[in-house]
Parts: sequence; structure tokens; C-alpha cells
Amino acid sequence: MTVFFHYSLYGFSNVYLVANDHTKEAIIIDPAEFSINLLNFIEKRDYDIKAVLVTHNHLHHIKGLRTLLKIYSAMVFGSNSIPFTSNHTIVHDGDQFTTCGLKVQILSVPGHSPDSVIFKIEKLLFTGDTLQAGLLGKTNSKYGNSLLKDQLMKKIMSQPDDCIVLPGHGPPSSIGAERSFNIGLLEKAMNVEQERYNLFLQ
Amino acid sequence: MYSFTSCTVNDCNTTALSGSDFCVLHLSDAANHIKALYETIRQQKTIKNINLAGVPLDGWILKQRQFFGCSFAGAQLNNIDWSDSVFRMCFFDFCTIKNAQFCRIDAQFCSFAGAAISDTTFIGSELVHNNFNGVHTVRCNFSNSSLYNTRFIKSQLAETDFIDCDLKKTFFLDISQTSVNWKFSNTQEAYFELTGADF
Repeated sequence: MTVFFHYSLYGFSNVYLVANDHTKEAIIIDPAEFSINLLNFIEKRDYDIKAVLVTHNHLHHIKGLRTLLKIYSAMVFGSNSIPFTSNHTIVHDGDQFTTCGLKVQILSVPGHSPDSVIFKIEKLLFTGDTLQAGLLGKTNSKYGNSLLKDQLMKKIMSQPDDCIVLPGHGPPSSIGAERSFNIGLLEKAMNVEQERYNLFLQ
Repeated sequence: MYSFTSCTVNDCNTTALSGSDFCVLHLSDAANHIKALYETIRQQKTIKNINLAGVPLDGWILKQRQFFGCSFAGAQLNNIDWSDSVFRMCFFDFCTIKNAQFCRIDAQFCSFAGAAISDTTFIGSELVHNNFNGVHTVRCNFSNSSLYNTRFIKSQLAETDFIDCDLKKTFFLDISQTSVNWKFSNTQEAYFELTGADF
């Protein structure tokens, strides 16, 4: 398996390409833009884009989808309706499917947006805007923030330390690093401890 | 990307080292295996998908190399010269790095999270889009480097220089600093508080 990242100037988002080295088939995750550089990169290596995974349907993660689908006949996977395509597969929490010879697992983590999902391929977690290096994704309400933290604690922080976090914005990280240094999650852990302590006092 | 194949020892979930079925803890002849890997690596200019997680390395000369998708997570890296090298999507999480030379490197999309880094220089480097969250630095020098979009969240910086650095969109949230020199760097464009941060 080969993984490349592309820094999209549109929305300062990360676009990922995961390729199966044996079949030369590849997946694009969050096509924020589909620039000539990215196209040249794919063509130079003879990759055939067979699937597109969308972590959530915000424009700065999917703007390149229209161009991409004009060039490659790729299957699109997301948990909500996706602009620029009417032919896509809706995925749900806990789903698993295989594309390009790679097993993809779906973890629904709403909070940043209701349709946010994390794609897990082997030990790689494509977290979109739910979790970044050291920070949580932005939310519009206290409820959204609480929901995001709960879902992350339950589904993502239970993953092994050496799982790699590949976010929609910012640098990569690992679950071990996020467990130790993520400001939002540490706050959550402290609150849980405080609640336990308060219960103990009662 | 380096292989995520697990060590073949029962109940060990650590990834196996490159060229082996075992992780560094369960490899019986680790020293010789690492030595053989070094012989291979030093003859190559481009090093791809190597997994050296947790290994102790000392005195390796890895100047002017290109590293893609490699893992050195949890390794003890002493007296290593990485000058003028290129790194893409490489992982140094929770490493111990002592007396290393990262002069004029070009590192993008790499993670040094939780690393303890001492007596190490990154002078004149492109350190764009990297993760230094939770690092402990002592006597380190990042001067004349671009740290665009790099994060130092919850890091502890001591006797560390950031002289004449590009700190645009660099996150220094919740850090502790002792004798840190920010001279001539654009600290106004870095984020020291979450309020107003654009991420």
C-alpha cells in the first residue's frame, strides 16, 4: 500500500491518495481540489482511481470531485448526499467494504457535521474534520462539541496507539499522540475525572 | 507506507520491523538485523516504507537521503546526521533524539509528537506541515527555518532557538518555555492561544 498526501490551497485541506501497489488501483480521500499537479502525479505512476471516499460533504473537501469524475469512473462513498454526483454509495457506521483490494471500515463520528465519518484502512484513520493533530474539529454548538468528544472517545480513542491519524487539515498524528496531547480530548478526560470525583464525594 | 504487519509473537500487536517477522522486542538478533538494514539503507539515496520503530540507532550517517513513508516511532536516535535529507510522511513519534543533525532538511507531513529532543539542530530547514505536539526540547535550534502550519501544542521548550523563522500558522498552544529565543521571527502570525486561531 502506498499513501500520498496533497496539500490543497483551496481550504488548506489535505487530499489523500491510497494506492494498491499490486493492482495499481487507487482511492482518493476528500478531493478538495483536483489540480493538474495531482493529475500528473497519478498518471505518472499509472494509477487508476477506482474509488473516492468523502469524510463529510463540506465544499473544501469535495470541490475537486466534479473534475475527478470527468476523468476517472470512480465509485463515490459517503454518509450523506454528495454534490457533483448523483451516483454514490451511502455508508453507515460499522459498515465494511473492500475497494481496490483494500478493506475500508466506517466509523460515524458526528459533531463537526452530522454526516462526518472516519475511514479506517489497516492502521490508517482518515479523520476528516473530526480530529486533528492536537485539536478537535470545530463545532457549531456545545451539543455538537459534546457529541464529537463522546464519539471520538468511544470509537477512536479505543484504537491502538500506533494507529495513524490522517486529518483533513494540518499535520499527521497517531492515536498515542492524540491521547496524550490533544487539548480537547484531555479537557474531556479531566471533566470525566472531575465527575467521578464529585460522585465519590457524594 | 511502511507495512503494518504485526509481530508474529502471540498477543504482540507491535508492527514488525522491515525485513523481519518480529518487532524489536521479540527479534532475537536485533543488533545484527539493524546493522544489516543500515548497510542496505546507506547504499540507497531513496528510502521508502522502512519500519524501524523502537530500534536503538547510534552514529548513523544519513545525509542527503530521501525518506518516504518511514517509521522511527519510539526509536532511540543518538548522534545521527540527517542533514540535507528530504522526509515525507515519516513518523518519529515518542522518539528519543540526542545530538542529531537535521540541518537544511525538507520535512513535510511528518510527526515528531511526544519526542524528547536534545542538543539537536534543525537550522535552515523547511519544516512545513509537521507535528511536534508534546515534544520536550532542550538545547535545540530551529533558526532560519520555515515552520508554516507546524504544531507545537503542549510542548515543553527549553534553551531552544527560533531565530528568524517563518512562524505563519504555527501553533504554540499550551506550551511551557524556558530561555526560548524568538528573535526576528513573525510570532504575530503564530498562534499562542486558541481564540482566533484558524484551523
